[in-house]
Amino acid sequence: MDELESGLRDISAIRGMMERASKFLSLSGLSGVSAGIVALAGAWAASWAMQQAGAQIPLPGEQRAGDAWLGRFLVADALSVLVVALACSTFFSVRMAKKKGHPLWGPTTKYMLAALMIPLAAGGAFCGLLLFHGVYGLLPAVMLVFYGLALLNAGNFTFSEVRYLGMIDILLGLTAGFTPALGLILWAGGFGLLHIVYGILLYAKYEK
Amino acid sequence: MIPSFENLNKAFDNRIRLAIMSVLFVRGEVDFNDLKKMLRATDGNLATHLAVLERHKYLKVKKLFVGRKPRTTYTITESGSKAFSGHVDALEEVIREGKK
Repeated sequence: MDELESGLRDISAIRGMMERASKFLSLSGLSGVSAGIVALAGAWAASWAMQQAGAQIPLPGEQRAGDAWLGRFLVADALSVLVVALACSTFFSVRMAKKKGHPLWGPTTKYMLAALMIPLAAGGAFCGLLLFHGVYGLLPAVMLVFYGLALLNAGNFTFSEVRYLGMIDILLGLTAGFTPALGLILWAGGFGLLHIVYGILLYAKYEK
Repeated sequence: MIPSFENLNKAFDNRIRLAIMSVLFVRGEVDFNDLKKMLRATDGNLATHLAVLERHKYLKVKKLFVGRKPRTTYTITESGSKAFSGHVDALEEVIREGKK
């Protein structure tokens, strides 16, 4: 039957176009809020550790003996924040995808993750280089800049507001690069406070 | 005569117009070049079909300049989005009845 054939073809064409055109729309605002809270906790732990060590983060190029445990603590702290924040954001996004009936692992998910992860991995590797050279003072700046670039990129494949968050993070990162003494505060602002604010905005806009 | 055929929208009986509406339905707004890439259509062909949809008031055209380059974006209208949903419903109806 002709009508049936053409109807089926039309439906499959529509579905294909929609899939290609759509974005990863399951990014939950609560992901941002939870990641922000985790980051603030991590920043608090870092500042506590630095006080215990009686040390400011060494300036770029400055290396001091006796900072080894502090360095190790900060690395472990940062990695824990990354893992817990990723786990929380995944949890809330999976929950949102289920609620809205979006496919969890469609092409848009892959585009979004690739756009996010490639700059992020480069940033992680660069942080490794800074650690290797003992340049702790630039770590907050580098994390913020690369994370901002990752968001700017990923924003093309999800809610476009994410791109503005990325741009703000880049600016905060560059500021942190100029004033390493403010590094931790700017880091807490970019990864903590901004995530929470953005998460609430996205939640209010898309999930109510 | 199966009644649901009558609900199929004539404006969408063309594959390109159908594709344009599918993209607009999910994106809300799209610019000409993006659309061209996605549909793999020629400028003239695409422009003709966009004009038809505009005449039906299913989309709105916005022209602006980015630097010196003109950029044309298309936004789906509320009636366009209703008409498209209605058309998809009718297609499903046709398929359901055809399968019987």
